[in-house]
Amino acid sequence: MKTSHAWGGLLNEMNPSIKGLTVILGVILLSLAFDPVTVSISLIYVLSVTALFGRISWRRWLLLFVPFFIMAIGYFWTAALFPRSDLPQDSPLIFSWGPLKMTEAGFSLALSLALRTLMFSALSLMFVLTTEPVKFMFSLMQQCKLPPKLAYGILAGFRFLPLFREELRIMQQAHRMRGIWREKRNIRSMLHAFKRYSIPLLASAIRKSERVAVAMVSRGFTGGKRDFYCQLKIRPRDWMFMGIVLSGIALGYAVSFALGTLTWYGGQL
Amino acid sequence: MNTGLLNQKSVDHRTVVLETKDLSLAFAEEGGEPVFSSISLRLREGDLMLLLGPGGCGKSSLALCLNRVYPSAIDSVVKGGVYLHGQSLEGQDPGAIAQQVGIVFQDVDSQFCMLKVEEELAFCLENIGYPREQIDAKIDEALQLVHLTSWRNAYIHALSGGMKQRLALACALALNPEVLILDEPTSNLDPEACWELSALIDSIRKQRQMSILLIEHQLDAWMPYVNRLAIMGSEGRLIYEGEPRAYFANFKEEARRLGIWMPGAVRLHDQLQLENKPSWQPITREELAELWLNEPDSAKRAVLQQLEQAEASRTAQQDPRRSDTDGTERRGGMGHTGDTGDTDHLMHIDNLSFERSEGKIILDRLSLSIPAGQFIALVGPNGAGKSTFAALLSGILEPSAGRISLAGKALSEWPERELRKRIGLIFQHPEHQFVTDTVYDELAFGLRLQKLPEDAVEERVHSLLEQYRLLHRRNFSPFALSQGQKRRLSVAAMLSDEQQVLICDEPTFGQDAYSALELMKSLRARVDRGLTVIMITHDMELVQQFADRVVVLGHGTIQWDGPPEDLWNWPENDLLDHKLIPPLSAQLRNKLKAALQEKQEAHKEVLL
Amino acid sequence: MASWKLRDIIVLSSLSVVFAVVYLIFLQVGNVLVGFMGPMGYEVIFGIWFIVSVIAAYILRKPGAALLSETIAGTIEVLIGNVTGPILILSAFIQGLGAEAAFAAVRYRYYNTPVLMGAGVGAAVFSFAWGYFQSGFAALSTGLVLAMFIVRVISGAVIAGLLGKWISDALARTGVLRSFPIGKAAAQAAHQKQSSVKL
Repeated sequence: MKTSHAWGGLLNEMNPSIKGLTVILGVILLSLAFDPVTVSISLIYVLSVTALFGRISWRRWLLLFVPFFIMAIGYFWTAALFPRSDLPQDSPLIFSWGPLKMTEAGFSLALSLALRTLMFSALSLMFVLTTEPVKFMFSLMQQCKLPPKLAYGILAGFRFLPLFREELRIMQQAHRMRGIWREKRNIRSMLHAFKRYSIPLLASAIRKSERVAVAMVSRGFTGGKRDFYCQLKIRPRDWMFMGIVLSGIALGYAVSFALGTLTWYGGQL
Repeated sequence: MNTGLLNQKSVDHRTVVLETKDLSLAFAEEGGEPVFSSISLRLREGDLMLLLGPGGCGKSSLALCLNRVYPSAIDSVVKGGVYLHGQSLEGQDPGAIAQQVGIVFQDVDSQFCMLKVEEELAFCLENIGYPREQIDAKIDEALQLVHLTSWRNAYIHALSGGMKQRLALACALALNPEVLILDEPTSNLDPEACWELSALIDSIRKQRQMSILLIEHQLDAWMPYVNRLAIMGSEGRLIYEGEPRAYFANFKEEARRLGIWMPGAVRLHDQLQLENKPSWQPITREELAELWLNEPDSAKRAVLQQLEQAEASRTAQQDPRRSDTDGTERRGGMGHTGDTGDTDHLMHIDNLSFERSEGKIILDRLSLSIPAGQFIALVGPNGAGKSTFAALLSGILEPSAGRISLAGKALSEWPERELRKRIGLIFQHPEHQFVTDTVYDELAFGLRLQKLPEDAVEERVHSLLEQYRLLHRRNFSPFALSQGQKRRLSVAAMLSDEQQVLICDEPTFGQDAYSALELMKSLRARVDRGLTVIMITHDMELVQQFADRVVVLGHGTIQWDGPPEDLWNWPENDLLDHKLIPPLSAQLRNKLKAALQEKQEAHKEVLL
Repeated sequence: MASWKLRDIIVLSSLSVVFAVVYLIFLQVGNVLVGFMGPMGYEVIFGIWFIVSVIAAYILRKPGAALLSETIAGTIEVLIGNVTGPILILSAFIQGLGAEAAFAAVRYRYYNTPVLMGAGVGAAVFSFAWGYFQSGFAALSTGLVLAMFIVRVISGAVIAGLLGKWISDALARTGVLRSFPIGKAAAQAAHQKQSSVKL
């Protein structure tokens, strides 16, 4: 399930720092609005941009999006059923069940809250699924002047990730062989279980870190300035892309303003 | 002490490349025990020096002093000096030192910092400020050197152990060092990868005229190339530097006492008891074979007879029932004799398959019978599915298809409690199995779960602590023990139940010679009590010495099953297909046999 | 950055990797809790998201450890697919800043239980302020917001502060931290205790 057409992949080839900046700016811009219309227009826009310019696995996209969808529903219910006391009390009632009441004002507020969550995750997925970790770190070093010592240190730690997963699996099996399941289940044994996994895992993480640090120093790494083999540049189209995304959000604001539904977030503090 | 006793005989005129003078290392300014002290070593041009010593004597730390990682990257107190071509390395830029002294480490998973092969090499070259335009070509060159050219864009974690180690070598070599240090580079590799790597490194050494310092305990693959030997004693002092042959000819006893691994040729030659045994000390497999092939036929026959006798007496002694009943109730032998549901078999594996969630088939319709009281060695290349098989056998993984039964009942039908009393599994890394905070609690854990009264637990734990030489460590954290102690603890802790089947995943990994032998003997003793041990290993000498039966796993099925002495009758090329290299004694036996046969045939022809 | 050795950075980074995974798991736990209890579901376990700050600072005892570790954990969470995205790095940075503030307040001299709990509280306060702005708590009633704040502060002090210390101490007992400030401090304390016994 991969999209592939003429522009597909533009998003993947974009400079990661600019892409990250675009997403952060997008999130900040959108946190200012607090109405369903602005947010949903932007949401649709961002989704289309991702579909059009991104080469991504939609299965993974769904897999990552679903938890946030559930979270959005959670937010929706809380905000709709336990609204702030300063909402207009005369708002028409949509539905009531025992002491629980949902008013139109409450509904609209809850909807925008839930949509915000979805919006933020859609923006982030656009970044996460089109960006290679190593390129992202390279870009942070080359464009944002992140010190190499820090960047390579982070990458070295990042490399351990699949190893930890494997180690955790083996530990689970090993503990089972020891007969851990024969222990009683209560809060104390749960704390013990947490410790049983976390301490060996962290101990091995620290030992591995020391070893890899030694290996890197042995390969001549000093953390000083370097000339990168893999050069990541900022090209005009990166800025163009930023413009496209941000103007879509502006469009959302404009439409909402024209419809008279635009609500600013700051006013409610 | 015999330092320099023998190397005075010949004066070496080759240039000294790397030299240490009175080098000592400690982790604390005062009062701290030194890791090693007063080490003075000389590595000459073109040397391949082997550094041996008992576990924990500080060999690896010494290696890291030679490229100044101690003290520049890790806080430590280093005294004395390291000199490269007479120039002290102290105060030199670490980047510059890395271009002179390269190093390859043991752990293939923690010596890289990037995700892909190409990125890792680029990282090394960027470190030394290699011109960007030339990096591309240089990466190609480095990969070609270690035969990894087609893997340039591969992810490092997808490479096999042997390939990772070759990449590590390429990284070290990309910096063009004059001296290369190898810190147990083959301990994670299967026998074939091991021999491949040593041959590769030697050819590069000759090409580039590098000098090499090697720390290793699997010696056989390296002995053909080793020309110098240094030995560190248990208190971190150098006790020998000189000719390897001279050491093994004269100080075998000392080596044994220290728990130092010796080359197989030395051990085997020592075991042969013949009149007029040549006094010349062979140290490589080739030398040993050549030595005896050049002897008169009578001597060949005598050696052959002795090798065969040793084998026969070993099998008879190890499996008395097998020789007693003489075939009628053979317990070892060809595993799946498969005839009328022989009930004395403890475990049955029927058409076992296992598929990973991503659809990769690990095991494919595998069948096997396991009787009581047998020592089974499970061998095969890295990635053949040995560990998966062990997990399935012990019931911690569910098969995708097929059935494993224990005493006639499928594993899945056994209650977990009962199953754990019958099948034990010892993992490759002891750390994974520890579940408590102290050595004492670790041993008491299983007993307490059995609801034994506390004084009985106390008594039992005490005797275990004594038996496994851990009494002085009873209040330590299991993780704070030495490698050998950790292994002993993990074995002792697993054996609290008298399991009928004990599965061990590379039990001698990372052990010194003494601890390894000790452990193998205790496993053997279990088998002699009528319990079954299944051991995963790469070490064919262990297989030869201790196992009743070998099961060769490959391509998801059993490739071979039978007594070890029969396996070694395979042509060596077929063995190589399964990444197996026969143990030395079998190799020698086969060579002698072939030589005698050839002669006989030639003789016949003449007669005709 | 110059005072940091590569080893310390990698240790920091791998701690962050481990906890990035823990954070992701707890995000799911949180999601389930939120499904049942609303936003309060997160607050109860919110302290877990500050824990790496406390552990890293307690082990390495360097200015910046709390801030850096939390930020790296956030970055890695993004790299392995927390869909909160780059904004999460900012949230993590702000949390780390809160924890760092507590260590800075005692001038990086003390790493005892109150200070570690203080770091958890600092992270809770900073993160709440940021969350109020970012996730639109304004839509919720004031009483609920206040209750959420209190729960988050307690969670920060207990889960991040106390649990973080407990884990680090257990880790130190395994001996792998011998050459780190926490291990040296422990050795020194043991030495002093020994010499005072002799006296």
